[in-house]
Amino acid sequence: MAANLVRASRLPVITGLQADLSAIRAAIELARIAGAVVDHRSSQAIYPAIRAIRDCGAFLGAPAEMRRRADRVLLVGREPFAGDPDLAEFLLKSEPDLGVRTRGHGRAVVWLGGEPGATLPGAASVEIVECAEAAIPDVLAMLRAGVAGHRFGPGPLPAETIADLADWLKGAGFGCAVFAATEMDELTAEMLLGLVGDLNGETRFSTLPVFPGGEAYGAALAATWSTGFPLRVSFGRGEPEHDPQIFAAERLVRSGEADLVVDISTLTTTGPALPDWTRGVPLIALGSAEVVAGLPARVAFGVGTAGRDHDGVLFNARFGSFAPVSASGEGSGAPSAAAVLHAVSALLLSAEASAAA
Amino acid sequence: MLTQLKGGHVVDPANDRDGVGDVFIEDGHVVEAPGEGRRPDEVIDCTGLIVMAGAIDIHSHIAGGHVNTARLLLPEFHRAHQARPALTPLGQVGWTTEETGLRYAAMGFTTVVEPAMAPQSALHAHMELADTPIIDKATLVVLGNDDLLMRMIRDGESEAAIEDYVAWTVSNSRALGVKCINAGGSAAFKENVRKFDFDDVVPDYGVSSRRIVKTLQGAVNRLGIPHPLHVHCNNLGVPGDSAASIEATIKAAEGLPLHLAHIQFYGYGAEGSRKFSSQGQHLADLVNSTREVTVDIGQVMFGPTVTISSDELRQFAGRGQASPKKSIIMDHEGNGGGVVPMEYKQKSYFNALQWAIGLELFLLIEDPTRVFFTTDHPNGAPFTTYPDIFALLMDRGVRQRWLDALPKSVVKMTTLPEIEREYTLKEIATMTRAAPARLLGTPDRGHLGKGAVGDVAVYRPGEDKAQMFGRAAYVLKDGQLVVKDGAVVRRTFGRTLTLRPEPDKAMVKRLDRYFDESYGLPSRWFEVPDHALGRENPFKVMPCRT
Repeated sequence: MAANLVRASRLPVITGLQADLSAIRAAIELARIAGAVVDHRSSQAIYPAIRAIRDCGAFLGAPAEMRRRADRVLLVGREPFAGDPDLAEFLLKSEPDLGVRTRGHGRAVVWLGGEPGATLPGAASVEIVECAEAAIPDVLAMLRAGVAGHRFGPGPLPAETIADLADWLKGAGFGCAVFAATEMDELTAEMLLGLVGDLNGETRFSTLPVFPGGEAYGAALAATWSTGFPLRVSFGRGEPEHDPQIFAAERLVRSGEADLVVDISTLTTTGPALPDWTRGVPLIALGSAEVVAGLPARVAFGVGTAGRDHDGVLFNARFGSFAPVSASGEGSGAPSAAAVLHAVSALLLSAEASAAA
Repeated sequence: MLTQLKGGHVVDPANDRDGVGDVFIEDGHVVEAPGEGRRPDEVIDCTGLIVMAGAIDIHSHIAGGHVNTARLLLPEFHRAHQARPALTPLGQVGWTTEETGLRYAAMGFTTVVEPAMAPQSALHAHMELADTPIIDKATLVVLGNDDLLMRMIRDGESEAAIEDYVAWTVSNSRALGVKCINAGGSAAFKENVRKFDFDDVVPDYGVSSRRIVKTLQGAVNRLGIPHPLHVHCNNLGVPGDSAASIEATIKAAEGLPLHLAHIQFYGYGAEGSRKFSSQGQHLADLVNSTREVTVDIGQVMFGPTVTISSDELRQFAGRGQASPKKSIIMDHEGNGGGVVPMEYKQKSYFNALQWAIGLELFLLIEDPTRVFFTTDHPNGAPFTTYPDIFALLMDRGVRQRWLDALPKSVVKMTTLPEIEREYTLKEIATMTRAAPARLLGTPDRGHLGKGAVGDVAVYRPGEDKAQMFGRAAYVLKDGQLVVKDGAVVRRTFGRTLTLRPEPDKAMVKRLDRYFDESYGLPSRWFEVPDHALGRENPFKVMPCRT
């Protein structure tokens, strides 16, 4: 029935994608076969950072390397670790132990835009530089000018503060700037990436964008190798096409262009509930039995969760790459989302083949 | 099912065949001609065609974190993103995992080695390879800028301990060999060192690039890993210093096997008014006289491309030349790396001389079993330019036409116009089939003798060699017809070739502790479990030398 719905659909959107990598790969394969659009639930949250990175380049650090090497850490924004709260402790708890320029110097943290009195797990010393969220772009621009030795006019912070901060950044043995991909617009992210690029003229500095969980970044990576683009990809015209606006799942459903939603949300057993906009069209839902039971789905598949019901692969922010997870042994015996999606793909292909014969 | 490839000109140097004959394949493998009375189930008429084993590419960046970062950085290189794709070679590659597999197959390549897999992103690389259709794959895992190896050398640990670490890394990451990229140079760059020579030492560790290379060369050799240590030397691309670095490295082979990657990028002298000259003849002489080394070229071809390298120092230094003007530099564990888009221009003195130096090396290195066919895809050029390079090697007239289009200042600085050599089909088959199989330790391929995998490429010969090699008439993968007239007719999935040296139990425990205490990472995250890849039998284990 699911295959029939997909086949009858003018333009299906496959979304959610809060799932292990096998399911994401199977979803992209299904989209290729069905001429569908693929989009992750949280794509919007990661695009500003991705756009900044691909428009102007970046220095990017791996978390574990930054943990061992960074003697000066610049946190930017109100909640730089919002996407992955555990990363704060992982990154900041120990002191740098690699490098003659950094080992034994301890680790100093400056938090630009942190709330007064805010603390971080593991950070021995955090100096908060108060700054309204809206003022961060201007402060970063002033800092960049300060680091480059250019003149700059008055702004949200006093010139002396900027000069001190610029000197502090330049004095890093190996510095690292951390920001939440979800918190920054593209221009702000570009300014920060540019600042770090400039700092590498004299010393070493890298950045660590913190992406939200739920496999938003993992799905973007998988889509990049299989389609060339970090999602919001349409196979509607055969070749994969990328457009972060046109192929947004929500826009396609609200506008009536898409007439079927396939939602894959397998990472939790409690939700999150599907957004309201999915209610406008028929829904095929893949999720744990508890979750899909409450959904107004035309077809619902109770599927397993990677790391509990079956083995799998998830993007791991601490590792900065994909890592394997094993079934916990208390599995429900439910099939994996990948298996269901492969079965739907196989039905579509065999129907195509028999139609051609 | 018995398949007969009938009446083609079989070029199979490994088995000393170069003449008209048949090739029989059954159950995915080459078999001897069946006795009288047995009729083949399928006959492919190869009359007038050239029949070779499937080609093997020993060095092509097709998968992994850095490659994917390049895709992320350059949406404008992708076909579907641009209205005028024909102008961008990478746009034609598409260079997704899907197109990588299909386009290699269409040219008759059936095995491709991704040569720079970081241990921490081994799973990522293998996931991409699992999504790459038709071709078989393999990887080289990168060591030589990692904290643990340099620490072990500094602390004077035993050869056996270092071998155990290398064996663990190869086995866990499911690699076929070991690569060393600017040994110590990336680590030094993290210490803000901006130039690093073969005898410079990495700050804090006090070990030189030479010592790292020699240590790894010895360990790889003693472990019986068939593919010699694969070295990307220091000072890539730097006029004068590059040539000095590769000369020092070649001389350091000292009788043991050593493979030097993309040597074109080291064939640069600093003479002439532009301080950029060819060292092609000198480097070729050195390779010719050093029997224990093998090399691949890394040919440059003109057009836009992107450089992807785990040589973080070099990529940092090269970022000023980025075109378009953006780059990503990665500070990861061990090597790190960088992605710098590049346009090689025919009218540029520098780029045109790079092109000429690559061809000088191809043609002046005498033994086709020791020089390998690469563009260092996509660093010198995308792999889709291979057909043109075959034509340049096989036809002096084609070379002359290309030379005529170059700036006159370049022609004066290269010996290429005087070189008369033209590669024969047998030499091409040696360089792209027989020799790579031997170099990689994969005796099941690269030839058409009994027992070989049924990977066969059939070409339609003609004056236009680029046309011939660009679109294979037929390609069989494991005995199945996958390409006909340059078009993929069946989309199969190949396997990834790996070694599985048994890791020492004490080393396993030590590494569990090391990764946990130093990096805060469980060592199991470095594993590549079969289940992760979602393919039946994703790996084929090749034997180590005994």
